[in-house]
Amino acid sequence: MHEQSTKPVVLLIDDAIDIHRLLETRLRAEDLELVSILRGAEGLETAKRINPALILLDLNMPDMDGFEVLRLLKADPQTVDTPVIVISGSDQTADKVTGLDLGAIDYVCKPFNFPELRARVRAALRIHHLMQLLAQKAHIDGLTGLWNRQHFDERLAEEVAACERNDRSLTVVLCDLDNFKSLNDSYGHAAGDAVLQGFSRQLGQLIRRTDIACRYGGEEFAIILRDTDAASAMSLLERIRSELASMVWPRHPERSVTASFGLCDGPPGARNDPNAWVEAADKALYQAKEAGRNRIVVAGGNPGDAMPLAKAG
Amino acid sequence: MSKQNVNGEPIHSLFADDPEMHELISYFVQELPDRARTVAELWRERNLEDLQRMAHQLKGACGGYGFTPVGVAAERLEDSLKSEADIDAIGEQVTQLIDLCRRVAA
Ligand SMILES: [Mg+2]
Repeated sequence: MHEQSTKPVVLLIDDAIDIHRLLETRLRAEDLELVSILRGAEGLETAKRINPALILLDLNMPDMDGFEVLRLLKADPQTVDTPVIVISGSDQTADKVTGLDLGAIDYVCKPFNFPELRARVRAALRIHHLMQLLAQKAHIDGLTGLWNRQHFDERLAEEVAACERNDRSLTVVLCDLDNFKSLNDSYGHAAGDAVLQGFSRQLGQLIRRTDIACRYGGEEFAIILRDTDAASAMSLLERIRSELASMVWPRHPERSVTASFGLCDGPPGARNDPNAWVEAADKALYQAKEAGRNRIVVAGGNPGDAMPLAKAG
Repeated sequence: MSKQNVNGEPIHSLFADDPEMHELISYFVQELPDRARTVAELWRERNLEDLQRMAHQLKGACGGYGFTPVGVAAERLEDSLKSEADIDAIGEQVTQLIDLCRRVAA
């Protein structure tokens, strides 16, 4: 959840300044922030820039009319899911049908009935909220509740680009539970799942709010540590490593679980390539396994010495 | 052009007693004479395209600010312009709209 929930932003696109003033007043009591734009083209550009929770869109506007704005909003992957309520002086069925078929979720006629408009705005914001939850769910791993691989890939690309652009530090961690297969074989899959869940819970508690912990696949995890260099990452990971090693598991109190970690705070010469970060972290993880597991290795070797990427654990 | 109705009863906003709307309405009422003048001018120039846009905006605005009769007159004018009604009928509607605008009071 990288976006903090503040007041939802509602974008009003209407060529009449009266309507701006009216809605700014009439929606003041609602839990939203209103941004008002007079022209279709500028409204479109603003929608892409501010990513509003809802767009209130007039139809009859000079230069670019509301239908055209709506068409372009729905053709752009960045704005296709933003709910749009058409607000129009036309009560013609043909206009309503066109607006709704172009992808608007609602159509409200001017002059406004304000209690009704406010209720429709609230309903649209509820839908937006649910869509956000749904989109988020698609990025969450069902078993552990951590972010999934797809989310990791997307966020890593963003964070790698951001750290290049703003000259910030970044650390990428790959982590693998040691001897997980034998644990599954000895105690069953339910025990294995309990370990994955227990470790994920511990991970969630120990990382900071800005860190991004993901289940990378199987018993492998990935963590993106923003604004963090290898040295500070080490102290966080050391805590995670030692707490895991000392955890007692109800299903197999006689057997502890450990994990190996590989981390990379910048692949030399390839800082802008997300894959290079993962490969470097993966190599370090392999070295941690080779060196006896239950340890943390910082990638530092020459990226030229290729090592087999198979896991020892 | 006839001048009937100029001295008709003042038209108050449906929302005149709504404190939230008070400032907005007085602002709107202040600006309305300018708009009525623009309507008259556009009609004099027979600039029917801009006149239709103006009527459309007045419809939404007057309705929204609670001056329903003015909004209705603006709507009638917009509809006539859209359907390219008889020019005399349009002239009559312009006059009515302007007269109603003049009766609007805060
Ligand atoms: Mg308009």
